[in-house]
Amino acid sequence: MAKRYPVRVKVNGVEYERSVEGRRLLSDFLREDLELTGTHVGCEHGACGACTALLNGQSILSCLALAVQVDGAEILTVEGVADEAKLHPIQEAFWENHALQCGFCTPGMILSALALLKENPRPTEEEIRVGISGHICRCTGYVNIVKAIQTAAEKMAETSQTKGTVQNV
Amino acid sequence: MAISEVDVRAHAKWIGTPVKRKEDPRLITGQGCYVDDVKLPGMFHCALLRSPHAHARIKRVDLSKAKAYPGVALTLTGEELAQATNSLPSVFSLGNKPAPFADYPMAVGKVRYVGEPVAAVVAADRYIAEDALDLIEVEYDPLPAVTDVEEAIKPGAPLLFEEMGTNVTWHGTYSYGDPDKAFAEADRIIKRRLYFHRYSSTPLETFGGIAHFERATGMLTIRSNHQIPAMIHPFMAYCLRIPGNKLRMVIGDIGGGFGIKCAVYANLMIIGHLSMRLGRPVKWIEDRREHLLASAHGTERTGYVEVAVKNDGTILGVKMKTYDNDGGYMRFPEPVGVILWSHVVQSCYRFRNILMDCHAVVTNKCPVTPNRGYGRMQHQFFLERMMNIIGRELKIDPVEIRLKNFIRPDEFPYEATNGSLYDSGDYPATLQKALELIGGYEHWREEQKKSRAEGRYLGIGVVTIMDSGASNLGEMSMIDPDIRSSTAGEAAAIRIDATGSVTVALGTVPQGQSHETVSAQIVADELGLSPDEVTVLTGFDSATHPYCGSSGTYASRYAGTATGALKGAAQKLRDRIFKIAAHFLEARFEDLELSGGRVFVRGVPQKGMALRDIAAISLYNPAALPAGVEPGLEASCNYNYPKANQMDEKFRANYASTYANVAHAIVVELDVETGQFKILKYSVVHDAGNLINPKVADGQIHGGFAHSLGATLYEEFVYNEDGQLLTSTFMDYLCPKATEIPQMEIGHLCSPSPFTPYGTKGMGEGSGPIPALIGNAVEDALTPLGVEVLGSNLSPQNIMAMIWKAKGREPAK
Ligand code: FES
Ligand code: FES
Repeated sequence: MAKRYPVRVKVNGVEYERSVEGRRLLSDFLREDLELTGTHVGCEHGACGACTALLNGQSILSCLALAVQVDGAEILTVEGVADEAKLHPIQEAFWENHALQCGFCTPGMILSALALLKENPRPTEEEIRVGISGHICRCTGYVNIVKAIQTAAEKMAETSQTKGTVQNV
Repeated sequence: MAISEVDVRAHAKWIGTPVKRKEDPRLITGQGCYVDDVKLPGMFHCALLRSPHAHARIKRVDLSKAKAYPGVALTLTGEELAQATNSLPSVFSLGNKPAPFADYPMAVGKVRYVGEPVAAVVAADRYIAEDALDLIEVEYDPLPAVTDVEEAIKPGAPLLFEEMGTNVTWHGTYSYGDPDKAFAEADRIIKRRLYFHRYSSTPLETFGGIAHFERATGMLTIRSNHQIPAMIHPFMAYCLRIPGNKLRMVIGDIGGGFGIKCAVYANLMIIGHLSMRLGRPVKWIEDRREHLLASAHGTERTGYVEVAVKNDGTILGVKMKTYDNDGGYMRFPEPVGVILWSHVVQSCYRFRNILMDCHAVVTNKCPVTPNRGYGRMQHQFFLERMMNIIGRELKIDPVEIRLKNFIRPDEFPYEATNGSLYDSGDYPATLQKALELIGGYEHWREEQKKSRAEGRYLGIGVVTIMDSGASNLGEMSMIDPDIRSSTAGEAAAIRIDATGSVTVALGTVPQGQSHETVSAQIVADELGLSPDEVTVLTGFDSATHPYCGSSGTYASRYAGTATGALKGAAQKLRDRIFKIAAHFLEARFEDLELSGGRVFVRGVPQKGMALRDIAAISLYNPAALPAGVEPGLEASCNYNYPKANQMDEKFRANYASTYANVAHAIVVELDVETGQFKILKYSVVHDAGNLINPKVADGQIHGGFAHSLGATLYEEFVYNEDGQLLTSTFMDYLCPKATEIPQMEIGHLCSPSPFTPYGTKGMGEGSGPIPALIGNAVEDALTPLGVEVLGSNLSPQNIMAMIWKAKGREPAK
């Protein structure tokens, strides 16, 4: 029996404790051990962005990380982006702008968009394109994804202005 | 038929509007259900050992160590699988003929491409299964490999199937009109050898499946991301030696398909067999490297093209000798792809004298399967390149030579020389609009002149094509006239339950094409509801969904087929609803209207009944129904496109259902030092008749363009002479990212099809000619250097190679 290591992690606000083999990928850990299948795997070699999650607020490729590395960390996956039944403005904008077709790249795109807008709340189109350039989408030609992120940025800037707070991502 | 800007919205409320997608709420929250998301109790995992050789005899496979590895449940070799199953289906079996060679999903005796499955391991999890793969010992006896199609047809070439005595696995010649006469009357005959390279649309979700055999019932359920489960169902049952009613094919969300996922069935055979042996569910999910290496590729084609022309630019006839590189096996639906350009044989043009001389050839590369633009994009590349080459030789502008040869707007419906019935269109108007959208053709010709004076290389490209939709499987008769088929259809079922709400099931298998949304729009219009009130079941289930002989999602078929099935089923229900209402309301059938969930007398809305009440009567009180009305509110329709016919003895048939028209225009600026170019302007104008959902239609255009742009600039399956694939990860098989996609101007014209229920046409594959578009623009930019583009991959290194070659011809300065 291969040696197992304990992992304690908070995902989407929920605490989990599991024991895993040292070689277990974070993507497999999320999808199989925690049954959070919204995080997708498109390449398993860090080239498509489908498996993107936020680790302590920073975007990471979960296929290039090991589960043991996230011990003690906080992770956000697509399942935790909406506030209960209320969609996040980025999700709303993806829906509104037809920014997905098959939807396989979408969870990763949404998480990268979150990270991008946190760092740069008013990105230019160029900055958005560069911001999601770690992702492959084979269906949409990116046209409506870029539009959706632009729309979301505007919406989020408006709300944060009216609320006088910075949108919490 | 004249162009009209009138769309279907004049008489429909939902068809033609950009309704938000019903699929999205689950997909943007991570609640989609793709095949790898499914976990069944007691499920095992399968991994495949793949051949490191392109061509080799298998001398010995030793699985003993793998078998003994803790956690391993079962192992399998190709030999064992071949003993227990029938060989994979071949197109020829449809005409009751034997296949030219036996083909199994795993190698038997010999491997014929790198990545071919050699053995399988089933284990408690994927990690263990892969560990065990490392313990399998295989002894190979390597053989010389052949990867180039023209090498493969030479006498003495290494043979993939010795028993055949040749690598040409199929060959057919078809003559339409009088090509010899056309060539005799021509002022000139212009000839080129053109090459269309090998790539694939590589969906972001790889292939996968879960087979679940229940011993007690003998039922095998296969859940997968297959695009044509209904079509493949009888083949799978035959291969696995089980009755059709013991095989259930289930499809959930699919992460993109683009044709390539038609090929999953070979792998499903493996897991189907493994699950039958174990009596437990077996999951197999391909990884990306396996996908690029060994799933299936799009077809690579070499063509010898000859065109007979008059000096005024009139094209009299075309002779095409083509060689399709099918890879290691010729898998269903191959060799159909070899002749699939029959749909668009004349493209937008009037020449009627055509000789098709088509060859399917096996080589030591990965097998091929449909890929967006299947079999047609190669033809579009050849023809659209030739239009420019001819123009240049005759000193006729590329736009002018197209205008001169177009089928004219008043000629529709137009029967092509091979019997295909082009439904409607105004090709000159589409091209003109595309040119307007880039800012005017003359403007850019002026700019080009100026830029040339400054030593800059500006190029303008145009292409015009037909984007056929909903193939008529009568096309298979071209492969063997004993195959009799005329299916170009789809099936749908609609049920109104006792609460008055509506559920729809289809035979389609969407992979992002928004069928839940567009079907809801259609049914909402037919039954007087809103799309929100219509539930369209996700995916497909062969046990519960209706289907027809050509069901599935491929060949841009929804708009030409599923629309008819939905309309047919909805009209049956309307009829029944109106009969019941007329009886209870004591009104005339003709005076009734259906809207807002109620049937009422036109002009007297208070005199009506709720749909729910009618459903309740029909379900619970059949004795109260008027005579002859069937109880229940459930109806289905198995629809076949009315103009789909059987092939005649002259190889003529209407090979597709709808014929949309597309014009693309582009302006590029090329850097002759690096071979890279900037796209300054790009426009595309589609005429797909009425659009069901304009947002969805535009999405198809965006995605199709990105695919074809990627194929032209970056994507290629590059093999070395030994048959090793050099581009087997996303690090070297490069898909375009957001930073590579330029702005696009999209325009629509509307020539409704006179033959489809809502005047719609298939439109998902109109970006096939992007390689020709860019080829035309690059060649135009490099006019001062005299470069000619003969291949479809225009990567910077390929462009530089052309430039150097051209410069080499110049006297040294
Ligand atoms: S799956 Fe992690 S980057 Fe592709
Ligand atoms: S929507 Fe299919 S990959 Fe992006």
